[in-house]
Amino acid sequence: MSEQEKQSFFSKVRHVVTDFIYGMASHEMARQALKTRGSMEHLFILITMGDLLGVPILPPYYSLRLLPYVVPQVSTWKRRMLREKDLTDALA
Amino acid sequence: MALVMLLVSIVLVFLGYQYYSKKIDQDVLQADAKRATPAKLYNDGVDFMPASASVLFGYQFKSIAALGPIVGPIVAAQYGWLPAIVWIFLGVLFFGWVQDYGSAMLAMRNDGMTLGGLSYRYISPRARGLLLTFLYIYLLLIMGAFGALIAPILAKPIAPIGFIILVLAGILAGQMTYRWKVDLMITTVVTVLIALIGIYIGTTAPAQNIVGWINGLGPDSFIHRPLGYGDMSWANFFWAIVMLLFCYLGSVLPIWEFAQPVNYTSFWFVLLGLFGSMLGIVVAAFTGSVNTSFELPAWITAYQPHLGPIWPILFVTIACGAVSGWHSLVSTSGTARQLEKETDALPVAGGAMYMEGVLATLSTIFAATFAVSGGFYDPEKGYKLMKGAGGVFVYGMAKFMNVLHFPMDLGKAIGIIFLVVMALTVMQLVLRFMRVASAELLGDKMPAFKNPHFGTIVAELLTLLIIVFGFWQWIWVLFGGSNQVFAGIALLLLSIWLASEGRSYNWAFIPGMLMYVTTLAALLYVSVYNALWKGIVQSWGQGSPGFLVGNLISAAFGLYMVVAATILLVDGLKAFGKAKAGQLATGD
Amino acid sequence: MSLAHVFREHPERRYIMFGGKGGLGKTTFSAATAYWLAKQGKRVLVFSVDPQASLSDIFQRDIFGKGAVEIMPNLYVQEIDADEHIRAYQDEIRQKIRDMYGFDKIPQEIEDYIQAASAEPAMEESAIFDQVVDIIVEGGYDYYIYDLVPLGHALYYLSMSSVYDQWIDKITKLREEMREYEQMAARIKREEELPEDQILAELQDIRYRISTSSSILTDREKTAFFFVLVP
Repeated sequence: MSEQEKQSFFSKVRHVVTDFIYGMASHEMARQALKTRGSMEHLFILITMGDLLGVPILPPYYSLRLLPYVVPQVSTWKRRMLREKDLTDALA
Repeated sequence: MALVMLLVSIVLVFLGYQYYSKKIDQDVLQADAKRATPAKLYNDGVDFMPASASVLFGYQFKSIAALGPIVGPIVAAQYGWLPAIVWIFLGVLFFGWVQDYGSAMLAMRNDGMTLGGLSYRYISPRARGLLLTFLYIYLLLIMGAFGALIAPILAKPIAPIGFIILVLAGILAGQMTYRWKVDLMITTVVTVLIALIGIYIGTTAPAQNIVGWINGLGPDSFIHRPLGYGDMSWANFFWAIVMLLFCYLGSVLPIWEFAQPVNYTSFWFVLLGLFGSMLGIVVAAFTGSVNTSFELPAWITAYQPHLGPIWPILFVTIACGAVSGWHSLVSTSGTARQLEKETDALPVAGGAMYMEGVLATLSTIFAATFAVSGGFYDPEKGYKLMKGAGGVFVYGMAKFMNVLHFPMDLGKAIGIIFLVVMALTVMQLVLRFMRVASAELLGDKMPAFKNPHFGTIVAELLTLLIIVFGFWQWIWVLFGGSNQVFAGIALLLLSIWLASEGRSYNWAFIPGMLMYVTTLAALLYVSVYNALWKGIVQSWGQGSPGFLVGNLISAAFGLYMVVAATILLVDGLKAFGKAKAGQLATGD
Repeated sequence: MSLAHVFREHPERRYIMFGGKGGLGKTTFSAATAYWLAKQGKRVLVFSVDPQASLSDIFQRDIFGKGAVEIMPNLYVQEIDADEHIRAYQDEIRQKIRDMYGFDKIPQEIEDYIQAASAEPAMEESAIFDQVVDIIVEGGYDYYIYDLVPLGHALYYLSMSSVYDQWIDKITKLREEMREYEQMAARIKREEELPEDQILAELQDIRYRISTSSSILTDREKTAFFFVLVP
């Protein structure tokens, strides 16, 4: 192993170890924060793009102005709204 | 001997991973790094969110490692350490990782569905309902088994003050992170230091006196339970209530304010205990400062009178250290929705299970090394476990940390914190889930269950009933049984899916059936032979009402689970037959 | 009391609206007032959203949908073509989506939504309202004369502006709360500063536009409203 390889090997190991500890200690916390944010985002899409469900709430002119920013979320949003859920979904 | 055992487990884990697990992953399921996973495909920022393999490995390990792998082997060691360790190795290598990894792949290849939906799709429509009620009982047994174990440990004078300060430090951590927006590093250092000082203060004489005073407020025989169950003391009862109060707060308060930051701060003590004692074993082996030869015989008996025959009881007592249904819940509901590559499933779900096997080995080492000198197993009575299984672990951890010059009392306090935290982390989650479950299952008929406080209190009262009237070793066997049946169901589900895809399935089907037969036998042994026959029929008129209640609980839970699991098995085998013939209609 | 008197007495009333039923002479009054003010040396913009293009008729020039056109020194006339404006706006949104995500084609789902939103009657109303807001917020004139369409939808929107204001307030709060959680996660992950929330920026801009224009148009000191009636 050359000096450089050694170095990159150790930095990789360090990376994996910090990730592992982060995964044990904080990942769940960060994920919960993002989950909360995500469900609020879906609420936001619902009220701004309410027209998607035939409920005009925001004037359509302004709703179109926001549309470009939510394009990536629209399909996952619809999927999540329509997906059947049961108790085992609530576990994680 | 301790070091040898630890090394053997690590080598076996390596070999199993390298030569068995990898082969299945590549040849049978053909994990493909290029195939889009649900986390990537449906990344909705709520249920589906990708994360890296090393992060998820930590997440999965923390989610699956609770009291099971720690307490299970200590209970099982009453048959001798050898059968215990053999089952841990066999379990991990041929059952455990198969289930954890297989269910993650199953969920991933089915659009991130969870077990409820999967059982509906692959077994039968009624399977989903059965599974969910089964789950409620399973969760209740987790609460009961962990609670009954933790309460007496918490009652030891050296622990509670430190634990309370730790909780307060955790609450502080929550405020620092969420309200005051302090950098996480600073928050961690400050709160962990406060907690450490708190744990130290807890071990000092004045603190112990306070706890001693509380413990002395009531009688030793606070709740009378004759016929070998052992009476419940006021102290145990009091700390059981404190523990339930903690779970209550964790379940109803916003998770930011209580459950998460408290778990976060306590986590560092779990890490400290784990690495401290492992390092202690290594150092002790070389310096000889602690006698690490095993005191417990390798083989004790095939029939422990107060537990039952080695088959099937040993196989369910070890619980999560060998194979556990809990893990399939974590794999499907949590991890499968976060894996960013299919090829990450094996290192994450499989890897975490192998690591859990090492943890179970560590626990067996503690039991075997300090069994007699620590006063835990009584050779006169056939190595019957005299004190709670938690005590063995705490003592072992403190002894090995003492090798590194950690004061014995502080080591014990950390060992207690370790156990308490591991149990309570899961208990809070379980309680939260039970509350949601009762709201959904019963909320329409009984609107009161829609109130979160009501659902939580009902679950807690049921838990208290088990803690007070259940004989904890039986509760442990019931818990282990339900846990293992759940694993059997997950493996069955996995086999049906494998068959329906035309892949080879015996690597999942055979362990699944072995698990099913063993656990049904264990559940029947406890509920019918022990509770119904010995506890109720034979002792009719001799026991107190409490004794009767305890046995009725065992019998009812055990029998319900046997019936539910059998129906699931029948439906599952039918579906499996169809799947093999390529006729399974997966109703979507 | 002549109209001229009103403007001499109240020089701060710079926003003038003429409303009333059709065919009563709103456009005539608007044009005359604008002409008079321009003659006094004030920079005047007279505008309408009437698709009948009566301003084009009165000034005898086709200015429909052509922006602000200078008729004589200091007198500018603008006739808003709402349909054309909506079309251009749609294209702008589509272009933005293509640029932001490097799409060649707008995803069907999104295109359907754009079409459906634009087909709604409320779309025209809110587009007109926004145009008026645009004119007022942009500034640059001493006097603004608004020749209202017969049933004055835009006035309806004006009356709604406080409702919008509260509503946008609420969703802005929601966005800000989302931001809190995002920062929380970033703090736990120990990540660097987050990129700005563009939706929040847009919302704040929309709010600024609505509240600025509504505060002007409902200010008794700045705005005069004339009802044109049958004598």
